[in-house]
Amino acid sequence: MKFAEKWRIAGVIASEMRFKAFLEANPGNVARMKEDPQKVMRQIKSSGQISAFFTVMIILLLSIMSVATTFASDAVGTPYERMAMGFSLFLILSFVVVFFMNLTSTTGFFTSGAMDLPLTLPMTVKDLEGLAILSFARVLIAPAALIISVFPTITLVIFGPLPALVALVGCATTVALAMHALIYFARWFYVKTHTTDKSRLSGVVRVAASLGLVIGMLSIYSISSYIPTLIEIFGSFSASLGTEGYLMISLLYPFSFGFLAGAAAFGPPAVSLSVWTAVAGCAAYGAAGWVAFRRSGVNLRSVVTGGLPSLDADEDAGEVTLNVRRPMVALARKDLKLATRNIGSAFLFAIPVFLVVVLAPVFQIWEGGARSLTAIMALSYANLFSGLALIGILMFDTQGASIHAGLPISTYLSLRTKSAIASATYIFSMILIALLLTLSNPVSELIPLTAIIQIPAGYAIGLTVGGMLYKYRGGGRAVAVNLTGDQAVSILSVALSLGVGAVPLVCYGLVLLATGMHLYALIAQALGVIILMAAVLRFVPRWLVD
Amino acid sequence: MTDTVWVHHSELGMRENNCMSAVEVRDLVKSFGDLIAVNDVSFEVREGEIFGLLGPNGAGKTTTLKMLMGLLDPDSGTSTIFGTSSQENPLEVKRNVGYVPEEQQLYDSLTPKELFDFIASIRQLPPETTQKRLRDMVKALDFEKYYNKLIVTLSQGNRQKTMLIAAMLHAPKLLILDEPFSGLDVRTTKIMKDIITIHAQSGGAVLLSTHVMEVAQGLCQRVAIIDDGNLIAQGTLDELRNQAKTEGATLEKVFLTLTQQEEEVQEGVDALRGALSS
Repeated sequence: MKFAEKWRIAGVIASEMRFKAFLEANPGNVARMKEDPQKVMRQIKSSGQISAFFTVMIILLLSIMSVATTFASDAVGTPYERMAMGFSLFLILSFVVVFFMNLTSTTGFFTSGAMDLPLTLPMTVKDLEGLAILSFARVLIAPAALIISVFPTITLVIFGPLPALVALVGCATTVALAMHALIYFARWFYVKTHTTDKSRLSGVVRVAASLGLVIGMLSIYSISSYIPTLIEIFGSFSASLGTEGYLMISLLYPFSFGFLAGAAAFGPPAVSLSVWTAVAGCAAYGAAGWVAFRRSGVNLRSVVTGGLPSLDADEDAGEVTLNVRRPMVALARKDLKLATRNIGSAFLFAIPVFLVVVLAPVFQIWEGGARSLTAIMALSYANLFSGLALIGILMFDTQGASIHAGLPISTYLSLRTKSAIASATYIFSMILIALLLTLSNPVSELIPLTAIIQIPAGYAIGLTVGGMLYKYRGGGRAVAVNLTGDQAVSILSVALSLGVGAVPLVCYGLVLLATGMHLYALIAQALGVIILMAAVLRFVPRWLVD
Repeated sequence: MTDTVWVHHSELGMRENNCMSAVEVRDLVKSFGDLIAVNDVSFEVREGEIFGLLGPNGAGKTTTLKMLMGLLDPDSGTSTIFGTSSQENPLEVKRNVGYVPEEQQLYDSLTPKELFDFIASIRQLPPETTQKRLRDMVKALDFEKYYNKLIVTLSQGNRQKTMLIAAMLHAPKLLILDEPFSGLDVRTTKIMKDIITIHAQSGGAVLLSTHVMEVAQGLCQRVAIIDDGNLIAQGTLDELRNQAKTEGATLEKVFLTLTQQEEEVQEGVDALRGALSS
């Protein structure tokens, strides 16, 4: 089969995968698809465009920041060293981008059944492998193509053809290795999530893996905040290298590419032997990338043809028992079970962890102890994340359309459950902030209480964000939202949660400005919370339909 | 309320109809853009009755059932289940109905046990009687060994069994089954047919859609035939035979006559014969 023909068929398979992913992302989509198919197609297109925009922005930002490292202050290393480190940094971050931004797509590729039809056609094993890898590549094509084209192009313009060639080989190798790692990890997770291992350890492994992945995904979105720090660390690191250090580091991925690009741009370094070790390293990693690319086809085929084991095939039958709980508890338990068994769904658990990472600089910038403004900023961050947490919980509903269709679950009950789960995260975050404020030598002992008084607002934020998403994405009915596939809802949720959560904080701030009394400001905040709750409980149910 | 008299049940048997309607569909219309999927369809399913909704692919059967369940809003017309409007009170409708949709989108990450726990909790079923009912169904459907496995690992037939158990867990008065026998093995199909019959004999009602004419002929007291969204005919087999003027014919023959597909089928077979022999 010709490459052009394979490429065209791979495009059809990739489109089908995206389409199925969209349908499966929302239980309501299946029943209502026929009502306005054009609307669904527009939604798929627009969410794809927004995701592509974010991907372009992230990779452009990474490229520019990495190249800019070379021209940073002379206080840290030589231009050669800074370029070597900037290149290496870009390749590491590219690996992270390709790996984390495509993890859900990859597991979706395994389970979508999009390769089922080609498997029944008279195609050779080699053709099938080629088709599997091309389809997979077309799903990953946006970040992969951008990484392979943008960074080498910028390098070509600024440093000339030879460094650009090194950048091209380095980027291609990185993409190939990331794809290989991605397939292996997704395969491992697939087996894990197809196993009802009753050991607690297995559950812990699943949660830990999900948590790591989610933090990785979040890290990509906030990577720009950390680039200057990373550059400084890498700069200091390169400056501290001795001769042996140079030789050793230049053999390691991705530093080989960085060292070679630096030498191509600025001539041989002081330790000229490191150029040759870098050339050897580049050749070895380039070959490894090529082998990884070739083997990816075999691995993909083994997965899409259903060749993965079900580890509990011989397990004994258990006793038929039944546990009946309150509907809201049952909904929450179901959601939490799904959360620990699906990649990406564990977003919720990562929120407080990530909040600490983001808040650390906020508490450090205030000298002389935490002020009311510190508290307001910290609480605003927590409000922002609570909207994202709610989306994480809505992601749980990507399964079970057939069951959901037959059950008497009111949309409001569903929303209240999701908001209650989100509130648990919010309470944890508020306690954390109260603790951090207490430890930050606050100018008033009452300041940490702002976080405690804010706690009920978490439920109001959940109801508002969820209610609005149900209204605009589901016509008032319960919908599932896929964060990675529909980034427009992330922006909407962040804006809403910031706005709603700000109501009590504005009350607090205004009264504090007017009176200068923390006690009055706290009373105003509490009143703000009560008014907010009353308004939300009154108006949000009106947006919903059963 | 129910004084059903069973007359005959070997093939589309008839019965007295002086009992309450389980399902009432009146002048239902639903369009998807320019396509009229359901056009002015009316029928009634009585208590104690097994009613079959027959029609070719894309005829509008599933759309009709989804409107009945309150999952789709009709453009016009009404549908009620035990007097409750599907559009005005879909939650009450779902409380009274056991529904098996055509597509099998379960919670893949749960086990059947976890799924049944969830359903029993949502429906607030009494634990003891429900557990006994569950045990009986699991045993009857030879499902014990799959009870604690993840649903994603189950075969299509076992997923269908999961859906059937889930739909009957609350012993509903009405079963709405969209292609309920797809993917089931012979043993399970026979058991399911018997369960449906027993359910109806106990006063419950069943509305099922199927492509399999033998199933409809052996199981249903009355059927409605839908084609291109229009209701072509409804009644007992004898009534349909009279309408189609095909005395003694099978339901398949009656169906093809009423939907005017006999010639089309013959043309299709001839074309295929030509294609396969060339």
